[in-house]
Amino acid sequence: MVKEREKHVLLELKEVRKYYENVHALKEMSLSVEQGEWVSIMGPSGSGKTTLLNIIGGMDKPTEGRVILDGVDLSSLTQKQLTEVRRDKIGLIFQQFHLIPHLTAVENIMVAQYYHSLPDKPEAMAALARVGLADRAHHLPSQLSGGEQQRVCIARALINYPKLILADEPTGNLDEANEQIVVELIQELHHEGHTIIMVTHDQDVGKLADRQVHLEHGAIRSVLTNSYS
Amino acid sequence: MGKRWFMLRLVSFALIRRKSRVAIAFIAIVLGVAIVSGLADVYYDIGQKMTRELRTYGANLVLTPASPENQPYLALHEISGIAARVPPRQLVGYSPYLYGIVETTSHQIVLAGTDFSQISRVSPYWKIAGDAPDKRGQSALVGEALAKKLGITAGDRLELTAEGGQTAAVVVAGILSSGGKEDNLVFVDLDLAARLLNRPDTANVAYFSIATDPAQLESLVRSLKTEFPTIEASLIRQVSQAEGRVLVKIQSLVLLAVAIILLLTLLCLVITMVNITLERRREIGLRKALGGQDQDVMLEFVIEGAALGFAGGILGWVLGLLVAQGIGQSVFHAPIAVRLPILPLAIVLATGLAALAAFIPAKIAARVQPAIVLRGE
Repeated sequence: MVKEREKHVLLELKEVRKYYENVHALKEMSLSVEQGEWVSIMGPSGSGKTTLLNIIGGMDKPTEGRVILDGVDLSSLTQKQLTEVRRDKIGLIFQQFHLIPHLTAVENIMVAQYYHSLPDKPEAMAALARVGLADRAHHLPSQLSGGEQQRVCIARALINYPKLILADEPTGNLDEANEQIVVELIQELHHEGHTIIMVTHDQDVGKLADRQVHLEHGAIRSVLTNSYS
Repeated sequence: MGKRWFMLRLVSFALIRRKSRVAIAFIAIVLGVAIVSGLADVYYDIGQKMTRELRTYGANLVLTPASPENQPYLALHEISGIAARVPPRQLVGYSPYLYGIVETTSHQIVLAGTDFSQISRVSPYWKIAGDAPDKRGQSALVGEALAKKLGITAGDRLELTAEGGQTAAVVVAGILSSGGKEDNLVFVDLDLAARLLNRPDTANVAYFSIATDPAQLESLVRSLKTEFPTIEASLIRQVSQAEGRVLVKIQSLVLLAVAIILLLTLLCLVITMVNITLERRREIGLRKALGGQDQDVMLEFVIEGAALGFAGGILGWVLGLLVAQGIGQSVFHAPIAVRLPILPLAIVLATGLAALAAFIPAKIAARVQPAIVLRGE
């Protein structure tokens, strides 16, 4: 089943360009990502990694070109429709975790359910249990370590069964031990068949993906495919 | 769990768990509403309070016989009847006067009989050197100018003889100074004067001090003219008009103060709410990134603001009552009446403004692309 799904192209970027006034953030970028694939986007600061991720996630629009996610052309959608796409098809993992500070771990997950469909506490608790945080469900973010916050962020990203998981430097703010836990979680998600696009500076983490797309000055410099994937 | 229920929980968590941030806005709302509603209470009550204060000017209504050539005296029972027509809350006091000429051992003087117990109410500006006269005793007040002329001092005994030969002996309790015609008279108890002048149950004139606004006073005068055709009721214009002017000025001043404080409070409230909402730009961006539509996100912030305004409006109104009572006691030495209609006004004003003050920055923040907010730009 998984093998069959991998053949389906989930995301396609066609000659995508992005300008910010005079800054050429992305230069004619084309890329396809198959369902179930794990792609890491790598490159130095300013190479366009985050811009690319934002455009894929419908949080920014390309100046030119087309972004087709699960058969939907994002470049032609309104802001409201883009929000619906994010809600229904995308799970976001942030470097800064971005948990709502006055809500507990489980409530932070329920917020994503609330915007998607209906808040379901048992399901949110199960998502926390999955990332090993069942006993921290009623703690505020300030009472959690960075690694724990990132795991809550991952649980929140998964709660609505997204087609695509976008992770922006998911290990960037973590110590080695927590980085290991989060990497293992992402590997698990990959093995379960989730499609993951991950921006990272970390060569070791990047190498774990099926493909490493290296960016430089807003363009793809190289694409490496792991032989074991 | 239902969506609406969860949203209310989100709102309550945002208010309860962000106590320190919310407290600033809440205090701004409570203090603002307290000052404005307190002053509004004072404003609505100031007319009555000031009218009573202004009664220190003395009487503002005078009764005289309508046809002095035919009937030169007022009947005491008619004066009492008119007093009964004035609402007790408004009637500060009234005092009939019976005048006549009497002789002392050396001079002819004008005698005035009055009700001494009403002096402090009807003529509070009279200054008495010596003792206040005893109503039941044979005591008298002598006007300052007359006392000087006749060499009379407090404690002196006066032998008074009327035209008809009736006599009375009185002891001068005090010397009266009013700055007016009273300074040339001798005042004795009304009953004593009636007996001496042989005019029982009558008076030449009656002065009333009524705590009400000039318009109501005019209306009273008109109705008295109809009901008591033998009596001429007239306003002491100088006093009532001066009162009216002072009252209007003071009311305008309080209204201006209410308006200025209201404006400053609104500004303070809006700035505080705008600040605490803008502090949550990143949270707004995150909610949008998670799939929250602009209107859903804004609705939560507006409900938060409204809930804060609602609670602040109620508490502010209660505090406003204390402010009003404080002003009432310190300025007027009397409580200020509680006006319940101010409560819904305070709640609506605080709720509406706090909701609006949350809506504007939430709308601005919701317009920003979530990516920009989440990057911290």
